[in-house]
Amino acid sequence: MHNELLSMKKHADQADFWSINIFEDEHEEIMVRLGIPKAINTSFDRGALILMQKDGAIGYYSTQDLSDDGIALACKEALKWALQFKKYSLLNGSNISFAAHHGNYLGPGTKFSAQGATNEKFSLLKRCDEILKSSQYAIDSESSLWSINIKSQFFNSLGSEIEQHLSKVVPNLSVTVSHRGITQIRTLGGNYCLQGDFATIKGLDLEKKAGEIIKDAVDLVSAANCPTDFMDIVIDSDQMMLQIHESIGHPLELDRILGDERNYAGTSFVTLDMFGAYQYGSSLLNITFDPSIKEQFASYGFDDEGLLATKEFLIQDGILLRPLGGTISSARASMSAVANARFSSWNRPPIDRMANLNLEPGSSTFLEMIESIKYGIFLKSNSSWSIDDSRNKFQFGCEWGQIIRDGKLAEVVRNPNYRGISANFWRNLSMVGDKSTFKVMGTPFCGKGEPNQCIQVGHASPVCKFVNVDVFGGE
Amino acid sequence: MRDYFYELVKSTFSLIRSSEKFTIWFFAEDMEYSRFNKTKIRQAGSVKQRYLTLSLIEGQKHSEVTLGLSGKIDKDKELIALSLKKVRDKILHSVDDPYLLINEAVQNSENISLNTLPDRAEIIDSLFEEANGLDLVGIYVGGPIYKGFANSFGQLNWFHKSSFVIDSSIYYERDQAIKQCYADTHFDRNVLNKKINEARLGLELFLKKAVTISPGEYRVYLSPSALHEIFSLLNWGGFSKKYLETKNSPLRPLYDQKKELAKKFSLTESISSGTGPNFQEQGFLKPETLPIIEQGKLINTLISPKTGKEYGISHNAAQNEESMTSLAMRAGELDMGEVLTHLKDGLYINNLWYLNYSDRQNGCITGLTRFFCFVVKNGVPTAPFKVMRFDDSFYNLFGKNLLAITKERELIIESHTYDERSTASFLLPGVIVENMRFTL
Repeated sequence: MHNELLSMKKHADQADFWSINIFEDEHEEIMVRLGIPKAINTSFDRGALILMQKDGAIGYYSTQDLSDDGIALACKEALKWALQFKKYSLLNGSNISFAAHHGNYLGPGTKFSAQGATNEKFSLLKRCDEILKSSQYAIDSESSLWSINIKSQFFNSLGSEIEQHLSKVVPNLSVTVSHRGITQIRTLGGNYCLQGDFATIKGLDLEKKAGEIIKDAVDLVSAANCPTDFMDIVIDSDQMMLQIHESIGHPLELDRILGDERNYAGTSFVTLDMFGAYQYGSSLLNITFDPSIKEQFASYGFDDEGLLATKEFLIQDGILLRPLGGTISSARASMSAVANARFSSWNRPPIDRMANLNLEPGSSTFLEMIESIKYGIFLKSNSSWSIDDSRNKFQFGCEWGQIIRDGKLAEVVRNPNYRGISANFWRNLSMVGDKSTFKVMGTPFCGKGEPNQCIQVGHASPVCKFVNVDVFGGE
Repeated sequence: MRDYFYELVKSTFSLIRSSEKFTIWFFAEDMEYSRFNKTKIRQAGSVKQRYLTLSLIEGQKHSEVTLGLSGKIDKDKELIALSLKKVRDKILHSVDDPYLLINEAVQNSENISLNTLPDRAEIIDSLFEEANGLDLVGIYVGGPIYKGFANSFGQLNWFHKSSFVIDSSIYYERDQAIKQCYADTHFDRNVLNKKINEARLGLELFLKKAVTISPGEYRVYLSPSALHEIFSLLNWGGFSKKYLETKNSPLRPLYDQKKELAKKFSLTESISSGTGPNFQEQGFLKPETLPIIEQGKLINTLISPKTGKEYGISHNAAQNEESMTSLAMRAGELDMGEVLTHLKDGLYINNLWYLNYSDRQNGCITGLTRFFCFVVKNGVPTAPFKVMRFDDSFYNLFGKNLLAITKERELIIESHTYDERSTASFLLPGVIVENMRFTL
C-alpha cells in the first residue's frame, strides 16, 4: 500500500470523509529564437491536496511534505479549517455523494523511452526556425516545444484508489514579419497541444507548417485591412476552438451559474431553469464533454474528485441539456454530475472546469461552405479574445482573413475581428463541417478560480459557417 | 525560512565544480485562503509551497531547473544534488548563449517586514459581521511571501513580507455589484467597516432600473480600478525593449514618435513605493524609480539583462518578462470630490473587464464595463447602465482625449494568485476622457 494512503488512514480518522490527491508534474521547455537555442528549462514538483470533511463542512490543506509527519499536520490543519468555520459553510458536505472507484489510466506517450533525445528536439526546432526566418521581412521568430509529464494518485475514505499518468506536448511556431510599416504575427496557434510524446511531434510535420506560416505572414503584410460589414463567415477549427471555449464552455460551468466566480471570472447568462429546454444554437449544434479521444489534450480517466470520466452531450440538436458541474456543484444544484472537477496542481482545490469540450462534426464539406457564400470571409487562428462577465458580448480577432467572393476564396485581409452576442450567435450556425474538417486541439492556458488556477483544456471542432456576423478590421 | 534558504545555498556551494557558476531564485509562501459566495464560505484552506530555480552556468552555456521543495532540509539538499546531475546533462546538449549576462558585482540586501496580521478568524469573522445581510462573493488570502536570490559570487538577497488581500464584490443582483479590494500588511477593522458602508450606500443606486446605452462616443470618468485593467494589458509587453524592437509593442508608434500622448500623462516604474522585492531573477538590483513616459514621451523602456546583451545596450534590471512591477501614474489637479461635477454629462466607469488588443500595432484595445458603472447627467448619477463594450485607441484615451487627472491616487496591490501571490502594485489616479468609443 502507498505510504501516503497509510498515513491518511492513520491521521484522518477524525473526519467524516477525507481524500488525498498526490500530484507530480515534470516540465521541459526547449526553444530556438532567431536561430539561437535558448537555455533548457526544466521543472519538477510533487505535492498533495488533503480534504477533510467534518459535520458537513470541508477544509483543505496543500503541502509538498509527503512524509508521515507532513500528512499528519495537513490532516490536522484541514480539519481545523472545517471545524473553525463550519458556521459559515456554503456546502452541506453530508449531502454530497463522492464516488468510490478503483482505476488506472495511462495516456498515450507515457513510456519514457519515447520522449526523444534533447539534441533531436533542438535539431527539429532549428530547422523550423530557419524556415520561419527565411523571409527578408521576418524580424522575429520562435520555435518551441514544451513537454509535460503528469503522474497523479487519488485516494478517499470510501476506498477509491486511482492512478493516472499523462504525457503532453505543446509545440509552437511564431514569426513576426514587418514591411512598409505593417507588422503581422503568424503562429501555429493552439492547433497541436496534444497528449503524446516526441513521436507525436515528429508526426505533425512542423517543418511544412513553418513554411505555411511564413508564407501566410508575408501575404498578410501586403494585404489590405479587413473590411467592415455584416457578412457570412466561415471559421476554421483553430478559431472555433476559442469560440467554443469562451461562449459555450465558460457559460456552462455550473460554479459560475451558482455564483462562485462572480468576483473574478464572472457569472453566466445561462440560468438553472434553461437546462432541458433552452435553444442554445441552431439544430446543427452538438456539444460534448468528451474524455474518450485519447490523444486530446485534456483526456483522463477520472477527475480530481475521483469521478469516472465519460462522454456526455451538453447540447444536442441545439438544445441545452446539462452543465459542466462536478460532484460538489451538481449536488448543490441537484443535477447529475460530469467528471469535470479539476485543479491546476496540488496547491489548489478542484473547481468546475472544461476538459475536452468538442463540437461534433456535421455533414458539409469545406468547399460546400465556401461555395454557399456570395460575399463573406474565412477566418483562421485566434489573435485576440474578449467577452463580458456573463459570457455574452464577445469580440474576437484572428491572425488570418480571406475574403470569400461568389463562392470562391479571394484576397487575403489583415487584422480581421468579429463580434456578437453568444445567445444569438450560435443560432446563426448554418453549416457544420464534416469529419474531413474536424481537428483535435487544445490550450494550456485557461484561467479561472480564486485562488487563481491556470489549466489545460482540449477542444475539437470542424470548420463552421455562421450567417450575418459583424466583421471589421484594425485602425 | 531565511535560514533554511541560506542552508540550501550553502549546500549548493559545496556541490559546484570549480568551472561552474550558479544562481538561485527562491520563492515560497504560506497562504491561507477563504473563498466566499453569498456571504458563506465555499472553499477554505492553507497552502505551504517552496520553490527554487537553480541556474547552472558553465562558460557561456547554462540550463535551469525549478524544484518543488518539501521544506525538510536534508531531503531538499538531496533533491538539489540529484537535480544538479540532470542539469549538467542538459548543459551538454546546450550551445553558448550569446545573451547570457551574470551579475558579478555582489549586492546583498535584506527586506524583512514582521508579521502583524491577526489570526485568520479575526479577519474572517470581522468580514462576515460587517457584510451581514449582504451578498458577498470573493476571496481572502493572507500570509507571508518569501523571495530570495543567491549566486556563486556570494551574493545574497532576501525579501519577506506578510500581507493579506480581501478581494470581494457585494452584489445587488445579476451582474450589478460593488467591487472592492482591501489589501495591506496590517488589518484594521475600521477600514473594512468604512469600505463596506460605502458599498451599502453605492448599492442604493441599483434601486434605479439599469438603462441600455447606445453605441457611440461618450465622455467618461475611469476610476483607478478601471485604469488598473488598462495598464495591466499595456504592461503585457508594452514597455518591453524586446517587444518594442520586434514591433510587438502597442507603444511602438510612440517609440517611433509617430503618435503622441498628452503632456499631462507620465508613468514611472516606482520600486520605492511598491510592495515587491528590489532584486530580479539574475540578482541585479532595480533602480528606486525609473521614469518610462514623461509628459507624453517614451523616455525609457524596461530592459532585462538578456535584452541588454542582445541589443548591445545597458540594462536597467528589468525582470525577464520586462513588465512593470510597481507602476505609478503621475497625479493631476482634479479633486476627486469634483469628479461628478467635472464629468457633468457622461459615464462613470468604476470597473473594466477582459481587455485585449483589437489592433495591437496601433494600440487599439477592447474590453467591457463591469460591476458599478452609471450614467451621470448634469453632475448627478441617474442610473446604472448595462454592460457595454468599448473599442478605442490608447493614443486617444491618454492623448488628445485625456481631459483631467485626479489629485488623489489609489494604491492597488495586485491580487492575482496564479501559481503564487503577486507582489506587483499600481499607484493610479482617476481620469476624465472625452469621446471614448463604445461599440456593442
